[in-house]
Amino acid sequence: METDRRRDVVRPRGNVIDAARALAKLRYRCRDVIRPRLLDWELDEELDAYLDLLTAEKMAAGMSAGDARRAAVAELGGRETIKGLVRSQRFRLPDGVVGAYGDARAALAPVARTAHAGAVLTMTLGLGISANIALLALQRSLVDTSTPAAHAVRSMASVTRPAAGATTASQSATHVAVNDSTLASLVRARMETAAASRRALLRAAAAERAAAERPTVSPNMVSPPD
Amino acid sequence: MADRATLLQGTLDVLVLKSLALGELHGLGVSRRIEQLTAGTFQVTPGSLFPALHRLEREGWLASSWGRSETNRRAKYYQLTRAGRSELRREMGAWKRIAVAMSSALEAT
Repeated sequence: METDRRRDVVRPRGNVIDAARALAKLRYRCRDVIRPRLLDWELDEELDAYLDLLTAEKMAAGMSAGDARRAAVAELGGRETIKGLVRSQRFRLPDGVVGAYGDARAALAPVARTAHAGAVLTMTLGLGISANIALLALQRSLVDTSTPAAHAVRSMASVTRPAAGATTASQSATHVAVNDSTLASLVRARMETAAASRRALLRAAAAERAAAERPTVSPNMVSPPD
Repeated sequence: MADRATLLQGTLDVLVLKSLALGELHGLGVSRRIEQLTAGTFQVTPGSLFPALHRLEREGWLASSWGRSETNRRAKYYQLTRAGRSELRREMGAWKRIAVAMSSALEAT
């Protein structure tokens, strides 16, 4: 019971420690991927320090500098083997991702080498975006006021709007009025054509009916005597 | 043999953690401290020490920083993290249980 109670109290701290450890592991993984050369350089430096400290220790024990160095090198053993063992513990991305990352780094390396690469990149992006916005604004102002295409588009748009009370500008109101009358005449013509067609069809149907009802008398047919 | 290798690796990890319990040390310092703690029974070669140090660092149990040694040589110092301390406590408990079990097993008639 005592243990359980203590565990309950300790648990939040345990979570914090676990989170800190997870963050540290993530940081090391990122370093493994992003800075492998720096890690190699640091490992070399660490092994050099080990060698120097071991040499100093042996010299302090009474060895000559040369003997101490030789003994230290022998004690260290295969340097490349140690480096290989340490490297084998690093986090590695899949080969395809590593290749793509290497290609991207190689492509960006010349840009990154210039002193003001960041400023140049930012300015280029800024100027490009500004120029695009300016050109679009200019195009819009020109198209909206002068070209026949813009008129056509606006006329179509105004026809679809309700005529009364839909617009406030006088120019737009004129457009609406003009287009309403055009539309009305078109509709009227269409309705008249449809009515004429319907009348013609009705006439034809009536004629057919009349012809069918009329008795047909053949000259060879004689009614029998009663 | 595989079990033996696993046991040895676990032994080295807990010894490295224990050697850093009192404070930060560089690689050679860790090696000498382990010799001292085990009365010379374990002599850790660099080929075992450095992979163990880097493995424990990647596990988040050790942290490292560059400093100056007693001979004014730039060296990498390792220290226990809070996670490392709790791992050391856990490992010590486990090893004590193993030691008791092994000694009672070996002393049994």
